Amino acid sequence: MSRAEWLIDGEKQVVRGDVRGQRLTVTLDNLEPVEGEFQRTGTGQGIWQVNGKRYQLAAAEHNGVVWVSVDGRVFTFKRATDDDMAGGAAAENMIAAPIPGKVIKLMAQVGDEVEEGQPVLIVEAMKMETTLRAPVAGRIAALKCAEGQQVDANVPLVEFEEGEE
Amino acid sequence: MIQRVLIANRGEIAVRIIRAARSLGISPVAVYSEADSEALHVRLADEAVLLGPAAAAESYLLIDKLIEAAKRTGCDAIHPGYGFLSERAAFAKAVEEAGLVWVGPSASAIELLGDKVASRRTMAEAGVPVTPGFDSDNPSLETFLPEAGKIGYPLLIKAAAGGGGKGMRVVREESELAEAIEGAMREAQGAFGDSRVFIEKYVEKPRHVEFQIFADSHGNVVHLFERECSIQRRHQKVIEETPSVALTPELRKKMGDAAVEAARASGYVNAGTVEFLLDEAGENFYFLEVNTRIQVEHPVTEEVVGVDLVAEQFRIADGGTLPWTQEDLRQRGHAIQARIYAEDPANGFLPAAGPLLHLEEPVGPGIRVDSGVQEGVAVPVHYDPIMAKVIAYGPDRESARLRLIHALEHYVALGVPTSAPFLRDVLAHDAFRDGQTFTDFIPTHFEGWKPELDGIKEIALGAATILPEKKQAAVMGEDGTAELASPWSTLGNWRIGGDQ
Repeated sequence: MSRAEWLIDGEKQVVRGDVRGQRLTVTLDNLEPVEGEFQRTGTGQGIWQVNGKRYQLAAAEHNGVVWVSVDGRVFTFKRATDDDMAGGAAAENMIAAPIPGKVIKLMAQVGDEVEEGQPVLIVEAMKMETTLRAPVAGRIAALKCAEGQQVDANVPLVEFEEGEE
Repeated sequence: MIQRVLIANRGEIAVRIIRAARSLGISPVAVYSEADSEALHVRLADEAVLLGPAAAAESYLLIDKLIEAAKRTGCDAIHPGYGFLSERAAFAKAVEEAGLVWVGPSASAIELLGDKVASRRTMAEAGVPVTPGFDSDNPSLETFLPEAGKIGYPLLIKAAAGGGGKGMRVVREESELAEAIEGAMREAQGAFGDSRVFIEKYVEKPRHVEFQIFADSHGNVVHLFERECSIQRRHQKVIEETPSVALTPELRKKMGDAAVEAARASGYVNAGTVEFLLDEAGENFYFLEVNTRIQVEHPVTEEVVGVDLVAEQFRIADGGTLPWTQEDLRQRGHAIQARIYAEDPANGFLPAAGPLLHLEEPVGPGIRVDSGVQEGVAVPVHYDPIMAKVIAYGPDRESARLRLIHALEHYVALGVPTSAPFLRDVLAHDAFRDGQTFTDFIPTHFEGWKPELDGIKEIALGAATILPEKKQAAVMGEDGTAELASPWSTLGNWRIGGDQ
């Protein structure tokens, strides 16, 4: 029996998987169990036949994130930790670079009111410019980067105070 | 005859060139940066030379180091691949001055054609159709504003030194012009070290149709037919095919003749590509630019015409004569290529990087995979995020299309998001099947695309819960690139040659 806790849409989801002989039964919170014939085909790989359909599966984990392929369709699932449960919602009110890059232009200042979707800064990574936009309408509370600065991925660069709507 | 070649590139094209060199008995020498010490091209070469740190400006773009490496390892030629220094006339010149064979067109042809402004002028004089536009030796908002009004909106801003969509902007109305010019000039400066841009009439809903050309140093020039590359995101091609459904035999001949004329007008030698826009009606075509290098999409031509373009590049660079006349060349069957990028198609095609935890590549009749990556080695953040190209050949377009869809279902990469699931959906779309392929295809049909994951999420969660096995600990590199402690890295410093 394997048990894992996943962070799905900000909620914790507990999943149990039970392999007995050639049958795999997976139980998710509040859902009917999913079961079918299962065969491991390699490290992190298997074939699972559910309701008459065969699914080719592959999975691998890196830094608390599990990558899964189901017939070439790729999912990522994050393991739930206590930290996630404490401050999960805060991420909505900031901008972070999705990959490491260089800030080449700031288009707003602290105190500016911005609309949702308004361009706030441009980051260059892999020789391409990417415009990062305000995730919410509101006021810019803090700028944590400067033009020309090299920034890491997923580090807050701009923080917002959400507008009243 | 060339005995040993230094390949001044990385990734899938370096691997492709290594294989072409091997087919001619030429010994390949690789170069690499600190981020690429375990890369596939390094493993496959006879010798490999470390150039410097990860940043391209400190490694793959260092002309002096490349030439020094070629000499030290006994090379008599340099192949530049695509990207990096491939279209820098200064590099071609330096290679020739060092007494090495440059596998590509002459420095003067690169210089002429690499400058989009100069090449437009040359082509117009040679009678090759060009789009209405305006260029200035001293570009600025002040010079462009009145001219933009005369040409009319929408307009396209392009970098004079450009390529690959960098420094390119579409401007729909005058109010957008200032910001677009500023952004394009900044991006052009960053990408090419040259901020000059020009404007031209934006042809609405065109197809991108290009012709492969080949010329030898004895005055022979042929074209190897077209490639249609209309399926683009961010002005970069993602799916390419040949033949194009839009060309009649008459139009194909007309465009092919214009491509050969373009090659002659610029004194071209070796492989090149003449790019055209074909209007929506399929009647008028306009010269875009000449790419003075091997193209990312060259394999579809190889499959349909039955040639090895990279091997031929070596023979021509060696002073050889073209092995074909125009009459010898025929198109047979159909080929389609999908470019697998490390990127997130559900999130604005943002480039991605990360450890390749698991990789399966498709096989089967008519399937070719030109790959530069392998499992256990990270996709670095520092370079163009192309990982591989999957090419399907079939007797007709529909069989090639279905083969490619099936192949992409079996391209499985974990650890870094890729364009494969997106491209499979593009190929499966009715408009693609019906040949309704224009450059606005992705924004028209795939705006806000998300992967279709309904109904299999529970399956995936089950797999996530029971499948992952404790692999060896993963470590993060100092620059944020993830590196896996793969069996390869535990082999230690096994590099052959190099200056370590």
